[in-house]
Amino acid sequence: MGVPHKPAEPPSTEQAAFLERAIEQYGKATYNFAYRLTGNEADARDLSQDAFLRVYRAWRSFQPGTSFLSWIYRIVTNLYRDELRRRKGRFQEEIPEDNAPQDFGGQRPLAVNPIDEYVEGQLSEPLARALQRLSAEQRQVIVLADLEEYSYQEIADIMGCSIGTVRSRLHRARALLRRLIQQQRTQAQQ
Amino acid sequence: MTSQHPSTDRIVDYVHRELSPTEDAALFAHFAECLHCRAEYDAELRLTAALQSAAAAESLDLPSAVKAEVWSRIRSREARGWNFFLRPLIAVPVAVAVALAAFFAVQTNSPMMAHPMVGAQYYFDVHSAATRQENPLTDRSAPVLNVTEASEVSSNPSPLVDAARAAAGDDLGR
Repeated sequence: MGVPHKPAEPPSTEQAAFLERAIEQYGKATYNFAYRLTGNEADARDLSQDAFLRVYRAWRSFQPGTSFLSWIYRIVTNLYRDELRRRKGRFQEEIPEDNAPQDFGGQRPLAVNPIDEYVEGQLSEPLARALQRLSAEQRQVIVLADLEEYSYQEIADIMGCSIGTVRSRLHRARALLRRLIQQQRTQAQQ
Repeated sequence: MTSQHPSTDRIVDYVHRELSPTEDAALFAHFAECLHCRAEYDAELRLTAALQSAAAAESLDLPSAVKAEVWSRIRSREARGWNFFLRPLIAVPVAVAVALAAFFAVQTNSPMMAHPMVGAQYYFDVHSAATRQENPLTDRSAPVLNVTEASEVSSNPSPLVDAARAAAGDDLGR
């Protein structure tokens, strides 16, 4: 699987060809990565679109000889982080002031709005459910370390953090996953 | 190391091959003799395998709409870029600026508006005087420009030439 090379001139034609090759060769991987992060296809579609738009605009910043997949994963990760911040702000604005904070028994809610609840309902896989209960950063590090099998250093480069942060996020994420899976097993047996 | 039980975090690092060669070898040896730690290591391996098999079972193809939408957004963005310049608030001032620039360009190039020619003798007279005044290192005894001869050649000496000449003379006299 070849990496699309960045040619010098002319930009318009080559830029378009660069994007075409990127979508053709890495579209599926990018979409699946976005899906693992977001947990639903609608958000994964939007995230993939935004990522490829960014690829189109920033194609000159890609360093030939480096991993294109790591580059686009970094783009997806940054876009996802921005989107989460945006949603968080919007969500906080829409909360009526008279709403008392809900008690989730010390755990994060499965979903924050009815759409997410609906999507959550479609995911019958216990592991997928458990993954969605991790924080976004923990989910990212699990996907990159265990599914994509990147090294800690590569994950740190993609996520823009230190190796120590990657290590601690991975440790916490796996501990939480083990606990959640154990809870689900216990509930299934009862 | 073989006598000490590694923490779960170290085992996770071992699973991800992120330990130093020494630590890696130590844990490998420890797992051979400690069934409890070996079981914990196997559990971590199973978790990774479960994550990978769940992901493989749910591998999705990129929807064709994604590519179409990307190109659609690129084209609309480009069109929006040109539309920006066609907005009246932008287009009118730009048109006025272009028209003014064209008007002044024509005026400047026309013979009527050409700069009047400055006499070479006048230029040398004034320049010579000014140079002598400004540069104290100038060899003031050397006749850089013969002001007297120049003024004689000049058919229409300017009052400024006289002033410059006087200044040069003062300078030489100091």
